[in-house]
Formats: sequence, C-alpha cells, structure tokens
Amino acid sequence: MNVVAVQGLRGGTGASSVVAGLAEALSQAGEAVLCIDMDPRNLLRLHFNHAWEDTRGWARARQEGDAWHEPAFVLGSQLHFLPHGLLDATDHQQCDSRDDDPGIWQQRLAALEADAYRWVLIDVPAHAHDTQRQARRAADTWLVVAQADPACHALLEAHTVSVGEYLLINRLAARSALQGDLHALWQRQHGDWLVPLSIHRDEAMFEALAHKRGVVSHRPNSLASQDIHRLAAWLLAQHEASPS
Amino acid sequence: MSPLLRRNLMRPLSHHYRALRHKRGAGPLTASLLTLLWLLGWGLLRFESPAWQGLFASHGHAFRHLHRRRPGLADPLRYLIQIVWLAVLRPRRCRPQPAEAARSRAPSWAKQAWGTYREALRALPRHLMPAASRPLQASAEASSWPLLAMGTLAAMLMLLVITQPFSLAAQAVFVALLWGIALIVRRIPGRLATLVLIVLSVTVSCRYLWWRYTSTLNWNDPLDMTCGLLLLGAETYTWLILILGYFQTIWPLNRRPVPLPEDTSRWPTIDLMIPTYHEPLDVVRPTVLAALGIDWPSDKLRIHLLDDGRREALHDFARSVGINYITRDDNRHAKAGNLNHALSVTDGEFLAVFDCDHVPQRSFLQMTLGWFLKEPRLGMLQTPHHFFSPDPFERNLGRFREMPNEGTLFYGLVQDGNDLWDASFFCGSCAVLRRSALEAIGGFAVETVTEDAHTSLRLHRHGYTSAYLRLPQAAGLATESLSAHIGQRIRWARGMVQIFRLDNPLLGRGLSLGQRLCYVNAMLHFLAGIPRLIFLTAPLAFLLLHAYIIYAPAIAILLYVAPHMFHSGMTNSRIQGRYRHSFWSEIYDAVLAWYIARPTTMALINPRKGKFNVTAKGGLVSSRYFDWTISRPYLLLILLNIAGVAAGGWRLYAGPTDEIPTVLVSLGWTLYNLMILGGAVAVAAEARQVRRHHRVQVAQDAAVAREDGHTFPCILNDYAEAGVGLSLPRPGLLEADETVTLLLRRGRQEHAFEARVVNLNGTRAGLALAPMSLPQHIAYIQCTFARADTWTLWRDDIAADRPMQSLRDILGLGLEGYRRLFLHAPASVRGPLGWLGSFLPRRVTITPVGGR
Repeated sequence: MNVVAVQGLRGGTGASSVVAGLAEALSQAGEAVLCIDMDPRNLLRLHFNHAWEDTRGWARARQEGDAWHEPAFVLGSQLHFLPHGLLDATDHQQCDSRDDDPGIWQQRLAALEADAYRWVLIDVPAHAHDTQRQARRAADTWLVVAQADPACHALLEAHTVSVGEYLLINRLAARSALQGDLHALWQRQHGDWLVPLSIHRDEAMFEALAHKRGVVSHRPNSLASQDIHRLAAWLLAQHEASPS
Repeated sequence: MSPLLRRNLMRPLSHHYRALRHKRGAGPLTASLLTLLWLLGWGLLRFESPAWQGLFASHGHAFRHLHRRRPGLADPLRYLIQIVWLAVLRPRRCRPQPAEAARSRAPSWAKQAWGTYREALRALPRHLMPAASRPLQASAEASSWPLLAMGTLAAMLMLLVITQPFSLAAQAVFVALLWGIALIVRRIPGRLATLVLIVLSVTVSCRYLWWRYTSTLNWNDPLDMTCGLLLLGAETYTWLILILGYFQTIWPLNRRPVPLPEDTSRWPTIDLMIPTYHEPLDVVRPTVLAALGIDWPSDKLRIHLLDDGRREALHDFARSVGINYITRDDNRHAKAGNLNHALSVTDGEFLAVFDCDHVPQRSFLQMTLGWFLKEPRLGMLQTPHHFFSPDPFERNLGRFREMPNEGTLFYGLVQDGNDLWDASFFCGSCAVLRRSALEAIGGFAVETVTEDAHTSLRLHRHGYTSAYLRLPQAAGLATESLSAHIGQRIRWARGMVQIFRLDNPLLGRGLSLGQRLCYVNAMLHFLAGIPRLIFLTAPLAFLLLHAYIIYAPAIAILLYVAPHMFHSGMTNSRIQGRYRHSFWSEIYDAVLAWYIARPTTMALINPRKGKFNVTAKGGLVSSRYFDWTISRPYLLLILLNIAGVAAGGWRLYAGPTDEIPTVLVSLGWTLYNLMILGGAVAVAAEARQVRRHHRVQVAQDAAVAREDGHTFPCILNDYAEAGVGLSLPRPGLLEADETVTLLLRRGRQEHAFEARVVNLNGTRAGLALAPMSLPQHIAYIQCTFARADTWTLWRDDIAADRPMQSLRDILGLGLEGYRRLFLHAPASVRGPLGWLGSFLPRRVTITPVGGR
C-alpha cells in the first residue's frame, strides 16, 4: 500500500483537483485506490459528484461515534472515496481526543486489509498543522503542489524538504515568460525533488469541477488529463523502482 | 416447347448478352461470340451442379482482373492462361508469421542441433582468445620479427594458392572448401571472423583475376581480344576497389568525443562560418538561428555569414540577428575562395564550417572541440552529414527511413574506417578546422572543384592529423531531384579525379601508405562509370556480336566467377550490411555511371579544363513526372539488353549445341543487368513534392492551446520553417482559422508559439506559425530542426541486411521500374504493350477466414 499525500504549497494551487484526477487516473490504470479528504472544508467530494446536502464523512462519523471508514463511497470497482464530512460548528471541539494523536492515520491505514488498496491518496489542506503532522506520519510520498509564480517561489525559499517529498508544478502556462523563467529556475534550484513533469494550465481542469467530476473522466483528451495520467505513471514507476 | 425455350434459354442468354454489352462495354461481335461460348459451356458442362458453383464461388476472385476490364475476343485465352498459371503456381497465402511457420517445419531435434551449432560459434571467440575481447593495446616493446616472418610465409603461401593452376575438378573442390569455411566463419561474431572472411574473399578474387589474365584471353581474334580486354580492365578496376575497400574498412575506429575542461575560460574561440552563394534566406535562416543556439561561451563564438551573392536581404538579416556578414568583391574560386577571404578577416583559433542548409545541433562544438584540445596536431575533425529529408532515391522509391540511404555507407563506415589510417577527410560542411593548420597550408585549396578533400589531403601532407566523429551533430536537406543529385555527383567525381591528376596521393611527400591508399580509393571510386557501363553491356558482346569475351568453357567461368561473387558479396554484406544493403550499390552506381563517365574521363585527360558547376538545390517537383532526359541512356541500354535477350533466344534455338551453356550464362547476366537497369529507371520517376519548404517527418509529443484556455495533447507529425502538422486525439477539437498556441518541448524546457490553424482534416491539423521574435525563433529552431534526437529516431528500426531478401527487393525494384516506364510511356506505346500485358496471369492471394 502506497500512501500519497497531496498538499498545496499555499491555498489555491489546485491540489484537490490534482488529487481527484490522480485518483481517477490510477484507478483507470487498474489500481485499487482509496482517496481521503482531510480538509474540513469538505470540498473534494464535489469532484466525485456528491450531493451538496450530503454531510457524511469520516470526521462526522467519528463525531457520531461510528467507525472512521463507515462513510466511504464506492466509485466504480477500483476507486473508494472517503469524504471529510461536515462537522457541526458547535461540536467542533468535542471530537474523540484520540483523533488528535499524530499517529492516528498511520494506525488507521495500517488497520486496513493489507491488499485492499494499492494506493491511498490524501488531500491535505494547505495550512492545517495538526492534520499535516498526521498525514506526514501516514504518507510515504508527499506531493507539494505549487504554481510557478513569485509567491510560491518565495515560499519555496523557506521550505525544508524531507524524504519522499516532491514538488509538482500545476497550471503551468508556457506562454507566460515569467512562468517559463521560474520553471527553468526551479529546475536548477529544486531539481532534486521536482517531479519531472508538470501539469499544464488547462481550462478543462476548471470545467471539471463545474461538472462535479475529476478532469480525467470529464475531458480525457485534454492536456491536463494526459499530464495527470503521466503523473500516475510516474508514481507507479517510482514505487516499482523502490518496493518499500 | 417454344415458350419454355424462350423463358429458360432465350431470357438468360439475352440477359448475359446485355450484361456484356451494356454493363461491361463489350462490342456487339465480342458480346455475341462470348455469349455463344457461354452457351456452349452450359451445353457441354454441368455449370448448375454444386461442384461447379462452388468452384465459381471460391475461385471467382482469381479472375477478378479479367472481370474488371472490358471483355475482348481473346478473353478465353486469358482465362486459359490464368487457369494454367493457377494450376502451376500455388496461390500466396497470408500467413500471420511466415518466418515462424517456416521454422516450425524442421523437426525439433534438427532445430535444437542448429541452435547449439549457432550458439557454439557465437561463443567461439570468447573461448578461443579471451584477449580479443580486451581493447587493443599497442605493444611497442614486443619484437616484430616473428610477425614479419609469419607475414612473409603467409604472403608466399597466398601467392602459391592464387597462381597454382587447377583442373576443373580440383578448382571445384577448392572453392567448395573455401565456401564451406566461409559459411561456418560467418556465424562467428567479432572482427577476427570478419578478417578471416576478408582473407578468403581476397584469395578467391585474386585467384579469379589471375585465372582471367592467364587463361581466358583469346589473342587470335581481334574482336574477342578487344571486348575481352575491355571487360578485363573493368574487372581489374572492381578488383582493385574491392581490395582497397577491404583495406579501408578493415577496422572502423568508432572514435568517442573527448570531454572539454570544466573551466570554460580554457575553451578556444571559434569562428562559425556559413558560406552561401544563391540559396534563399529561407534556407539560410534556420542554420543561422541554430548556430545562435549552440552551447558555447558567447564571447568565444562568432558567427559569420559568408555571402558570395552580395545580397542586401541577407545583410539585413545578419544585422537583425546580430551576426557578422562577410562579403567580397569577386567570386574567385567559389566556396574555397569565399572561405579563404573570411579567413583573412577573422582570427578565432578554430573554424567551424556549415553549408547554409546544414542545421547544427546545440551540442556540436562541445562534442567536437575536445579532440582538438587533446591533440595539438589535429587539423580537421569531420562529423556526418545527416539528412532529414529523403534523397531522390528514397523519395522516388518510397523507401525513406526503411533502409540505410546512399550516404550511410560513407558516413557510417568508410570515414570511420579511414580514421584508423588517419585518413578521414574534410567533406565541406559540419566540420571543425584548426586555423593555424589551415594557415600553414595556405588556406583552403582552390585548384579543384572539391576543395574539401583537397584541403584535408594537404593538411595530411603537412603532418596534421584528422579525425572523424560518427555522431550526427547537424542535419540538412538532401538534394531534391535526381538531376540535382546527379549534378552534385558529377561535381564530386570531377573534383576527385582532378585531385588524382594534380596532387596524386600516391606521389609526393608526407603521407603514410594507409593515407595514400585511402585517398586513392576515394578517388578511384568515382571512376566507376566506364567499368559499370562495360558490365551492363558485356554479355551483349557474345549475344549480339558473338565475341568470346571470356575465352573459357562456361563451367570454368562458373567455377571461378561464382565464388568470387559469393565471397565478396558475403564479406561486404558482413562489413557494410548495417550501412548499405546488398546489391544497392549496383543501383546507385548504375544511375550515375553514364553521367560520371564522361566528366571523369575528361578530367583524367585534362584536369584543368571543365567549368565549375554549382549544385542546384531547391528545385520543386510540382507533379509526378518521369525524367525522360535523365533516363535516356538507360533506355538505350535497356533496349540493347532486350535485343541481347532476343538474340540469346535465337541462339538457343538455332545456334550450335555446344554454345548453349555459354548462351545461358550470358542470358542470366543480361537478365540481371535488365533488373539493375529497371531499378535505375525506377528512380527517374520523380515523386511529387509540392511544398516549398521541406517538411521534416517526425513523431514527437506536443500540445496545442486554444484561446479559450482548453489545451490538448497532440503529436507533431512534421515541421517546417513556417508551419507544422499535428495529429490530435480526436476530430473537432480545433476550428479552422482560429489562433492557437503551440507548445513544444526541448528537454524539460517548454516553449510556446503563436499559430493559426490553416487546414483541418479529421484529426489532422496544419498550423501556420505567426511571426516570431528572435529568441522565440531560436527556440523554435531548437525545438525542431536542431533537436539533438531527431536523427536517433530511425536508426534503430532499420532492417538488417539479408542478401537474399535484398536481391528480391532489387528484383521487385527492377520490375517496378518497367511498370513506371510503362505508366509514363506515350499512349502509342502503352496501348499495344497494355494489350499484351492483359494476357499476363496474376498472382492470387488467399486471405484466411477471419483475416483482413
């Protein structure tokens, strides 16, 4: 089981769309995928055509005393999705204290059947430190999604890279001279952890969410969806190369 | 009775008649006769029976070609011929994997034994001499006298073997033995086995030539004598070329690049020169822009455009991109003079020379300069000329990238072989020269029309060395039409022969024996015209004139000629197979033979005469046509050979019986010549080429973004200076005439180019690029023409040489030549020939059920 956590370097880099697309691409490649939303804003579900009113999710299940995996959805034979769930604002602090344990997700995933999933994808919100720490413990691959812009460049200057961490450029527009320059610069500065492919800026990515789908199923012919297929292939190759 | 007759007989009869008349357009006489015949068939045979009906159903397609044409009176004869043909020849079946099927026919033990045998031979070099796998080391300290003694002994034995007269039986045993050894040795990998094959081939060929000189000339008959001596001269020439060829390619050096020092301040200064005379700016521009993209410290790279045409447009262009523009008042000594003038106004340590249509890759200088820093006496380093457009042979024969092209042998093998003898020579472009060396020999040589080879010969004479790096570091356009190709070769041939006369490499000081022989071979090679013409007409001397050109019994001829041909063919296939497929040299030579025969002879007689002619490039082949002017000599040769075949038939019928073997041998030779000539004629049918700019065929990833932000992946099918062709994942993604952004990648860097969709056909789209800024234009050239990997795409999938397959290929090509000749012939010739051809039976392919 390979656990891949995806987090935006800052808010608004399109990390959730990447997670949704990646989940689809990996499942289309015949891999069993569990996709988990850790963002309390509970938006990843919109990529998977969930009803707006539906508030179910793992956090809510915990709040109501159910097992965390109870509200998982089956989307096709290879893809399972676990939304975060919408918490009642009043009960926000009344969660099980065990949920604050940094190792909780590691334990939870370890408790799953060994062969149930080949891939677990976790959508990690950009600025939630507790969640980030929990996801860190569980994940063996950490994808930081960034846009080739000065803000991300500044954030990268202060960033410390840990093992298994990769930088993924999203919404790359070759037309922009600035992006082209930053891309070239990052290849030199961050070449050791930069994913060797980028996801291009593509209208299809935005449209996909408007259609409440992932880009891979929404526009299979788009460049963004080809990029995500390649990202999936890259992940598969990474894990074939180092069976850990 | 009569109504019954009318309904059952008259109606089908009239139906059949009408079908013949109106549907298939037969004349009334033909239609009625054929209807009568049909009636006769029904009357005598039971066509209604299931057996006949089944036969019609299952074999109907075997007569399809007859059904398609207008019925004629001779149709029954045509059917009869086709039936006999079908009965004699098994129909061709579509097998999924014919090779496997053929292999599975042998019993398993035989297969196993065969496998063991081959494996054992493959492993033999390792067992025999483990030292052979280690790289060669010069052993200066070892004494050389045992080697000398062995060499002398071997030479004496060789002389004995070559000159010893044998009876026919002894000769038969001898050649069978050698052939047996060769068959075993050819399965052993490695260069040692190649050397053994070369020794065998040299033995057999020398013995053949010795026999020809000593016992096959008839000194009594003047006609026999003249024809015989002509043929013998031609054979001596090919023998010499064969031996020199072996010598030249005995051990290709396969030089690797030498890395440059880390410290770029130690890198030398380079003058990159692009000489041009009348080539349009469109041709020059990609080269200049690619040169601007070469990876080299910018303060140490100066690019010069050497315009002998003194054109304002080029001057403006040079100024706009910031390169140096050099021109002069006269055009003396053409390209060599142009370069010499540029030498006098520049001062870089090294010179890189690119023809204006050779686009350099960014790595060119870094790949080549290392050797110059390592070897201070290195005067010149040459890299291959690689073409991304098909040459006339490839284009007109539809074989682009399917087999090694004409230049592959020279740049793949010959130059690499020359390099061992320190004799690789300058080819005018894609090369680097050391300025001090050039100045020592007084600049580029101006005495001949091939200044390149002459310059390097002088460098060698002055003690400078040369190197060849078999890494395509530039790519260019091939000559576009056959006539242009021939024109270019005439120039080379004349120039090389001029050097042979004016500055003969065998004479004079400063060259090693190896260098002398390599240069001589390169020059003699261009004298192939007359010998080739002699070979193409030699059998006619007997068939038409009854001259015994080889004064020996047919069986003796076979016993000497056949081993000579087989051994040299096999050995050359082994040495050259990857660079030129067997028998293709015959086609290339045959096409050129007539045209280089005269200029080379003239140059041999008077090397200073004859005007300079510039290779015409950029001709546009607007429609398919047949170059009758170019192929006229071959048509004459074909007619002569056909006459020879007719005469041979007559001799078989009416001549004395004891001549029959000789007639058969001559006939075989004539038919082979006809095949080669057919191939030569096939090349003259020029394929269509409509675009002004060459489109380079590729298959590389790209993407295209619409104005609305939607972006699609696509495959870049072809590119040119001003546009590209794409295939999209599905139709309907783009709209005609919309503006899009094309995304191209080079390495990990991506570049965007504005473009307009100019044509759209299903998933295919043609884009015209918008005007680009200079950096963008450089980036575009870097993403396309100057890519470092375009040339690697196709080298891998080229089929290996299989001589028999190649022979079949040539045979097919010969037939194709006659077919094209027929298609392009005037109607007055085509009519009767077509009528005759309609009697020819057709091969039938049986497709298995469920197949295509």
